[in-house]
Amino acid sequence: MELEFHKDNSVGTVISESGSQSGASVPEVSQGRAPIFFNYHEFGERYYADVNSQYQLKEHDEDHALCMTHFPNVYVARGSPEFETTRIVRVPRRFEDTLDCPCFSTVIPGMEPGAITGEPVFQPLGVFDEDCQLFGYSSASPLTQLLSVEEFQEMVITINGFLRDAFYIYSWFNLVDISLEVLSLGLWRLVSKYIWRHPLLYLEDYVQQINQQGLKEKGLKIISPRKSGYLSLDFQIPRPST
Amino acid sequence: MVTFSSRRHRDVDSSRDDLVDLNRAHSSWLKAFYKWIITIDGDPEVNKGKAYRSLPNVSNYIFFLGGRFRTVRCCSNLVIFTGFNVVAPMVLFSIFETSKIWHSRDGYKLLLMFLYYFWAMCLSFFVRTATSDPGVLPRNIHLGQLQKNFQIPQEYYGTISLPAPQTITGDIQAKIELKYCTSCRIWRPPRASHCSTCEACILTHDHHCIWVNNCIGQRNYRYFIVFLASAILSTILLITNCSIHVYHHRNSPSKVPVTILLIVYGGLLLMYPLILLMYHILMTGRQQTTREFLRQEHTKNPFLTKIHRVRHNPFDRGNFVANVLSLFLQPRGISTVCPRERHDEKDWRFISIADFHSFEKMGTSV
Repeated sequence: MELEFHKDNSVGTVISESGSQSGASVPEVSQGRAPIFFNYHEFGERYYADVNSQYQLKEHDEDHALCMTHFPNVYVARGSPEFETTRIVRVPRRFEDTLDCPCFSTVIPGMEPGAITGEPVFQPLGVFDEDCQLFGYSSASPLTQLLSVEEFQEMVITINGFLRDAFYIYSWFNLVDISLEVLSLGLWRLVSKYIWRHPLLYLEDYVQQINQQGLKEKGLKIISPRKSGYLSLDFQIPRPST
Repeated sequence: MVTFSSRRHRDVDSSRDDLVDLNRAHSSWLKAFYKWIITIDGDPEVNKGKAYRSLPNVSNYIFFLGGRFRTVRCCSNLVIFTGFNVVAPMVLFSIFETSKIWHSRDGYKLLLMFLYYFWAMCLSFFVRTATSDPGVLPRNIHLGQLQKNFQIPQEYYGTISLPAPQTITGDIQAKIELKYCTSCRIWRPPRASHCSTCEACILTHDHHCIWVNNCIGQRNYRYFIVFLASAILSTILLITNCSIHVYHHRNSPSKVPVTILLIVYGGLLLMYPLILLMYHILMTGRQQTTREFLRQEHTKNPFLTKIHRVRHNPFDRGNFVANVLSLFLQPRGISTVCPRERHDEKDWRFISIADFHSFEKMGTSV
């Protein structure tokens, strides 16, 4: 069965399927409207089971499409107890502030300008996927129940700060690194890690520290951004239940 | 007696077991050592230990010396040709020229030292460009769902536009285009691209260089530029040293045939890196990577193609020098898939998820 689901029109702008002909000619992107930021990890599904229907799969209308806000935990082995009991909420990267470094969205998932609004908090309304996960109709993820907006913002802003420092082109680290590397004919790399610690490793320390201090009692964990390749800021959450 | 013989029998059995174990341990040790020297293929069933053993499962990389060096499973042998051209002129020069110039007044010792310094730089950064991590991104980080063999949701196909810094300041046509990599199952960051030769997504992908048999990306772009620049400098110094030598023998040039040969060889070698470096300066000055430039011009042969400035380019800093520096000095970051690091068993980053989606589509539509 082919599922046709389109998000609300305000959610970003989808350009031609191929995308290969970009460049000089601007494709049929709406000329007069600027793109709007949204969480591009989310996707919709209309063929699912309602929470109280004993796993009876059926087709729903557009207003009752599920919005996927949490995903399989790909940081633990499949089949392990942790995989069964945890999920991942992905905070996307945002590009308005800077393009020089990875920068994560400081808006808690569900509050983005292009988010599917509805219930402000996560409400399990449908059952979907192989391992019967619970999802709601809006972009609000289960993270909203576990973390306040202020706590979330403080953490992400600090993480973005570490990234900005580490990826600043004219930082002392980068300039000294590149000049010593060239002058020493590449030998600097062999000793550099013992002399000058890479600034990105301080971010790993910070994430480890908040995981142990504040987030542990909430059942949360931030996945090491290095492990996720700085592609998204991933929060490990307990599996949502009714 | 029976007990004795049976015990003896058991003893023999156990010692034979020990021997088999020892042999097995010996062969597995040998195998591990061999894998440490060179890892060509991964073993999909063994997804644990160090990443250099697992990464070949999902990419086309070959690793040497425990993941310290890498290359791409042989597609072209041009890297050997490049290496030959880095080494050959210096071998010839060292045999026929160095001692003559050093011990006579036919040249200048300082120029000779500079030549060796820049040649060492050229060789070192050639090896570095060819064998280091160009910025490989991890796989399967953005899996959508488990059902139907990890089917990719409809929304993940196509290109999405997100606001860029200029969008905020009023240029509503400036935008960031993102694509989901259906092979690596990740939302590719801007400027990253999937290299089909390496079978991996590369950060700030410039191009896949057949001359070094590796991608040029965020993590080895600076090495690449230093390689080109030092190749040009060392070739110019080679020509200079030889020219001075020939000048001192200008009345009888037949006495220095190798010197003349080296001048010609150097002249030929100078061309390619010089043109390439010029292109890179001009492209980066207009804030374009090679990949973006070729897409923009719709050409596979960029020679003598004019480099145009792209309008509404969100990366443009509006200043030629700032643009060049922003790409030449771009921070390398740390390796996100480090071949020398250990990983847990059944790590998703090293599992190849075949794209069954298209088959399923066909099956359901029939």
